[in-house]
Amino acid sequence: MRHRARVDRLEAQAYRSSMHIRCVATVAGLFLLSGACGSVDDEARDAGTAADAGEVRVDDPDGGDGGDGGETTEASYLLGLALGDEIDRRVPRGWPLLLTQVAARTGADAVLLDASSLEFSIEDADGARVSWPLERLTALPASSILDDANEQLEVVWALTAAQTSALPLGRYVARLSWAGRRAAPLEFEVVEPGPDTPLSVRRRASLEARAALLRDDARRALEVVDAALVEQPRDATLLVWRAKALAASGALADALVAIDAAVERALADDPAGSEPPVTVFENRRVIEARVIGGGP
Amino acid sequence: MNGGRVLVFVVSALAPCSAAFGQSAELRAVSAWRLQFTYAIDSRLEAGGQQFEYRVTANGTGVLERPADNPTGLSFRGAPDMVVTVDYSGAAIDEQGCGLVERLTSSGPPSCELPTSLQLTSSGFEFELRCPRRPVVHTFEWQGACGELFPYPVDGDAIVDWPWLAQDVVFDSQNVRRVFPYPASGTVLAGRDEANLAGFLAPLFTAIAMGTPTPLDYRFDFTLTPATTEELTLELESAAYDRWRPSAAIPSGAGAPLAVTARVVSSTGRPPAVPVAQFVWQLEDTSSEPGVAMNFPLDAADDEPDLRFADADGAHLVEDRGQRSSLSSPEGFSDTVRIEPFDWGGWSKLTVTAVLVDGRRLVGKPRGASEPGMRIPKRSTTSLVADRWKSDRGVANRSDDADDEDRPAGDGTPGDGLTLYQEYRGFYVGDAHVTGDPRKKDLFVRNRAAGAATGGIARFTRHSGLAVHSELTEAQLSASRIVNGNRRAGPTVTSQHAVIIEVRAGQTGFAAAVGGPGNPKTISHVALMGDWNTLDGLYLSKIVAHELFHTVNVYHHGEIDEVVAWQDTMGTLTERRSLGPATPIRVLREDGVDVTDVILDHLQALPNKRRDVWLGVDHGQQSGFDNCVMRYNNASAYTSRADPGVRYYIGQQMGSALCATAEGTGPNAADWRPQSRFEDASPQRGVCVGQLLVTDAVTAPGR
Repeated sequence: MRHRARVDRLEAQAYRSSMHIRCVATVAGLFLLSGACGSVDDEARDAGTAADAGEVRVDDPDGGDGGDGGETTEASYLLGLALGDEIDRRVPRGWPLLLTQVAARTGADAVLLDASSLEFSIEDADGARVSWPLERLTALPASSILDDANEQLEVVWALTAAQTSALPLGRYVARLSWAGRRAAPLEFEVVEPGPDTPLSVRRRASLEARAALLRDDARRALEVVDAALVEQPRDATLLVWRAKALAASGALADALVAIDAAVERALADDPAGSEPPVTVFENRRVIEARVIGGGP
Repeated sequence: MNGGRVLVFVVSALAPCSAAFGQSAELRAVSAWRLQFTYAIDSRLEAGGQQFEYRVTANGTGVLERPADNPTGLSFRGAPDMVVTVDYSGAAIDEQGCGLVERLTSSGPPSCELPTSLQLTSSGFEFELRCPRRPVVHTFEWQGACGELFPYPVDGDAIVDWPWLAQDVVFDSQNVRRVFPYPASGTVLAGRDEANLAGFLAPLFTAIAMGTPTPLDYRFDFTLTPATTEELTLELESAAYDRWRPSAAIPSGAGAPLAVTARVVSSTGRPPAVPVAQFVWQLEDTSSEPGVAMNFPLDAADDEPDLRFADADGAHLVEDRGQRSSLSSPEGFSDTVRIEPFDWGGWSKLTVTAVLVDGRRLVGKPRGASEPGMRIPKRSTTSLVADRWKSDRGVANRSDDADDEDRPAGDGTPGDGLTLYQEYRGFYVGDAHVTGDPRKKDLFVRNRAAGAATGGIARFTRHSGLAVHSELTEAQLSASRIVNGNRRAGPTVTSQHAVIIEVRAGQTGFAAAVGGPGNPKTISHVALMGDWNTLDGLYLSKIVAHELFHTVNVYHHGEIDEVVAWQDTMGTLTERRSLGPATPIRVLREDGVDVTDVILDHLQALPNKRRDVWLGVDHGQQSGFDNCVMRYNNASAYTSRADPGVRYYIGQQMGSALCATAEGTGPNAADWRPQSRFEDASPQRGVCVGQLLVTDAVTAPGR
């Protein structure tokens, strides 16, 4: 009850006032982004007071005379940042940029999110914070607790292909911290796009499709995937995205055809694999459940 | 018996030092003298049925000063602190078989009749000590028939105190009075009195039995030094000593220093009279472990001392790679050094000597300590690990080479491949130094997949019970993947490996722990599929956790599922295995609804009118405990046992935890309708919590 009360208080505080945009992302409604990082026009709310947040202990790193040396204990949750598909850390101009923030608990106990202490920033090579018009593509998590019912939080931010075309070339680093816990800094580079390859075609279309689907724009997703499939019709990943786009648009039968094609390709690509091609089977399960039904 | 027994010593002359005559100006200038003396007298006899041993020892120190009524004279008096120890044991037996054991024992200060005195005369110095009395406890133990002969309340061998027999006896130096010659030079007055005496009469009954006095060996040594050379000690102190542990600053800086002060302390309680010429500090047997922690910098080979004296104040002369620090002509009687650590696991032994201007050398030790110097950090004689670190973690009694964590128990193999010392020395992970958990098994992860693997690592951590350190950077893990590679003299048990997770661009659909299942040394990496972001984040976290469990030797629940093809054969749904014939099948949902026609309709839209289906089988990958992350969920059908021509179509959720049983649960339970889907896990599989193996010190068993 005490825990629940803290959550209620935190959430009440979180929504008490409108968020005045600064370059700080907060959790309360969760991962709200500040204006210095972009013009975010959503229900962002300023966070209330700090509350307990996990079990982080960071000792005085300086130690002082005779300190114990500044050891750091592990926190009971992890923070992560992912850039696009994480295949590499380059963002070609003209490709969409997707940044995914993840928070997941590592312990058995529930973790109450501290609304006031989460910060998200992107810095250029000189360490200066940049102001990019990032758009939040995912809904805000409904709860500010990591527990059995809410095992992990995931929020995706994006720049469109047109927006990345205007980014200065160079190195950047994205930082996410929360209650003393920091995600590993995400270093990446904005580069000029190279010539198309089968991999680059797949990757770019996948990023475009993912961003479009997160925006509930299934038509756009289908467009970009189908365009890529013209060049690479047997690409299992593109077929999965096509299936997802079709399913999102309600064309379940067509979605099932696409995902079956993806399954066939994936099995053919790795006929002796010790691990099943779970991406295709899991996506087929989701679609089949809507077409055929089935048990738990 | 009468009350006192006074021993009379005849003093023999020491060999004179004829070179000196008369007091030197230096001697006359001494305003007070410090006395140190030792005294011993022994006698023993063994004859017939009688024997005894008699020994008195004494020692004392004190200051002799000019009396108030003659502050400028050459007479000095004082009352030294003295301790006298008396130990007499005698035994006698008479012709009637009556035996007696008699003892005199005592230890403590004597009573003195006069002040101890020193007189500087023109012919020499005259020293006198008169402290003759020391009460003793006198006991008897009757033996043989004496218990019947004497009316004393003695039973058997009981010892009886007769306190009225306690006597003032034995220690008497009244005749330690004579004139000694001056030294040829200097201000140390020394003398010796020694004799072989004939007059000792053993006390009471043993004396009666023996009848005659026995010889005594007597020796008295004393030194008088100017009181300015009062008894001095060099005390070491450090306010932080109890809680300090070595550390380091990256890339190559010193960690938090330890300040230690050495202070010359006079027994008088006053400031010492003799200045200190030099403080000399040494760090001895200092470690030189490579790097600053077990994994940083990578593949380190340096051999610089891990603990060094700082020379920041400019006053100290620091030499020998920081192992010697000296301060000459210090102001006052103390000196403070700062010991800088350059390694989280460094150790050394600190010693200090204060050299006084009169040539004396004082060796420092903490107050109350018996051992000179200080072990750095504070630790037991058998350990390199700071006491505080161990006590804080409840492992005070564990040895440095212990690698015996049993949490989680896993397959029963203790440890994580890291010794207690290595866990204490620690690791750089991300932007922090972390120590291992000495009560849990630690596992290290290099997560090149960043946020794609965050949820999975968290899930793995939660359900494995391991202490997972997942933020290793490229600079913190070498190509060998060994996390404890920086080692030289510190205890080690094996080369323990980290697990690498990375996204593989060309890998579509599946993830794999390459080389596994096995312990970390066998897993080259965990490869995530390039299309991971087609998955829901929660599902992805289960896949990542699944692969991570392979890196600690956890296996699938089984391996024998099949991929079959369902196809439309002339309007009939058939199933074909890779080499077998196509056989007609019907597809039902588990609620009995026949969906064969739905499948056939769907097949019309497919090239070749066929689709691949993952068919789960008993004791296969989908079997066993339903909610286990090691149980896959990709099978979408299984075969009816009642009707081999029927396939049940299903949709499954993937498990999210780790099982502790091989028994099928949920849809795999025996009471599931229409039937248990996949039964229990395969033999030797399931009970995944009991498979977990972290240490690389062993060969992982197969299953």
